[in-house]
Amino acid sequence: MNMDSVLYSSKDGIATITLNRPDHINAFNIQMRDELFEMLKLFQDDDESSVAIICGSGPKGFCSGADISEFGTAPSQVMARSVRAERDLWGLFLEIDKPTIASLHGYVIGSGIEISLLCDIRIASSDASFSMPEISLGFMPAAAGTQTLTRFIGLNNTLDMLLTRKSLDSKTALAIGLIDRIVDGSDLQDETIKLASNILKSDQNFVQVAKKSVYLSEEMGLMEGLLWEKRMFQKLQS
Amino acid sequence: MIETTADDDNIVLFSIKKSHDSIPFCFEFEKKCHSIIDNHTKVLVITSELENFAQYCHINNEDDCIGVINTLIDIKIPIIAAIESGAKSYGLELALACDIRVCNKDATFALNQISDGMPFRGATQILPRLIGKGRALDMILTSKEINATEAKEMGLISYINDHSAIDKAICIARSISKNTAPVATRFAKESIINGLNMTLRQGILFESDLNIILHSTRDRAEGIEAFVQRRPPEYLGE
Repeated sequence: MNMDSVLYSSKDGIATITLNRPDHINAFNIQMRDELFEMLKLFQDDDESSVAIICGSGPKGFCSGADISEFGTAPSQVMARSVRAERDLWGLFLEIDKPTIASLHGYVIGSGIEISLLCDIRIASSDASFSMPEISLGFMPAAAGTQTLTRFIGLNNTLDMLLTRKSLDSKTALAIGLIDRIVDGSDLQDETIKLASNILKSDQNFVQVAKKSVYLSEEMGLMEGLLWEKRMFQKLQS
Repeated sequence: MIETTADDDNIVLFSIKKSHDSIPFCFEFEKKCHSIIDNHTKVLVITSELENFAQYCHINNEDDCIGVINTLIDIKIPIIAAIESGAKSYGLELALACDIRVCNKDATFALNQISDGMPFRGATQILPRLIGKGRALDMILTSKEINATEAKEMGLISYINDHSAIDKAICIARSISKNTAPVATRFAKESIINGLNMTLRQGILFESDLNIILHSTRDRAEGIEAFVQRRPPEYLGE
């Protein structure tokens, strides 16, 4: 397969995974799904890289959502079943121990938002815009958005974004917790690398356990979570 | 007393009126939900001329009052609350069980039950999911009153309208009714609300299952065809 709709590079401990269909504002298609799956696995196994940046190529945006021309025909039930079982891309994001940063600019639509919410930190340029148009096209979010959005921006904002399909600017996105940082468009790349380098300065064992603990806090009872945190800290200190 | 109207866009409006009827409010509300909302209804809008949005019913068996909240939670279509003067105690709990809350700029909100009891129609469960644990505890334990701006900042309500909450609510309802595919809308709501009771991993698979079922709808094919042909979609709810 010609691997070019998602690029992978690595430098100074930082991996960069680039959505690379700039002529289509990086619209997410089947090839991209399969390649992103491979690239995430590559990052997981890449001993040279401790942090990954996920970004989109071209000036127009990070990702304009699912490519309607490809997802227009519904996959057969057999195909849908095998994708669910073998290409669990969204589940793979959650299995990665190393930190991931989404670097967002321009259009961040549908699966673009969903991919960014499967990363640990979201940094965006001040000119980015965010929307979830799925239900007006007759389908619904399919890259974990109905699950991750509520956990980041709450039930209220999630229902509002999906049901009214409204578009948010970066400032509003920051205010409701959809993104974590805003920088000027011209500084986005430098600031993203700075953020990644900053994480690299810490002991990566602690970084990875801290990441895991925060994710587990949503899945465990408080007492269980406190016990896990203490045990992991003691284990790493010894 | 509850007046009901249904319009050509399949929007059902419940208007809660002042009355001295002998029928308890909650009985009437539940009965209307079951008799008026049908398979064609696309959006339910609830508004009220009562100062507190809804009237507490003095009936012997208080368990019956919880039935209203359960009935609202079980409704699969989007529900919009239009709050003109405010929502207090039982009235706020009723509004919390809706999906989008719109209020007038002078509206105020509070849960006043703690002085001689506690909220028992959903507030201790729904409020933390909307505004976070800290703010929910503050509201429930201190009965503090909050204004419209504060309520919007904390995610308790979605929109403030300067003059009339109901106008804005109807405008949102019309937009949902005209522009979204009914089955996709119901599935997205189900995925968002039920997903919060699951671990993230389970939730992602739940969303994936709903997507696969949605592949078989005519509206999905129509939505994509309309998008490609640059015309407005005509959804049949099939």
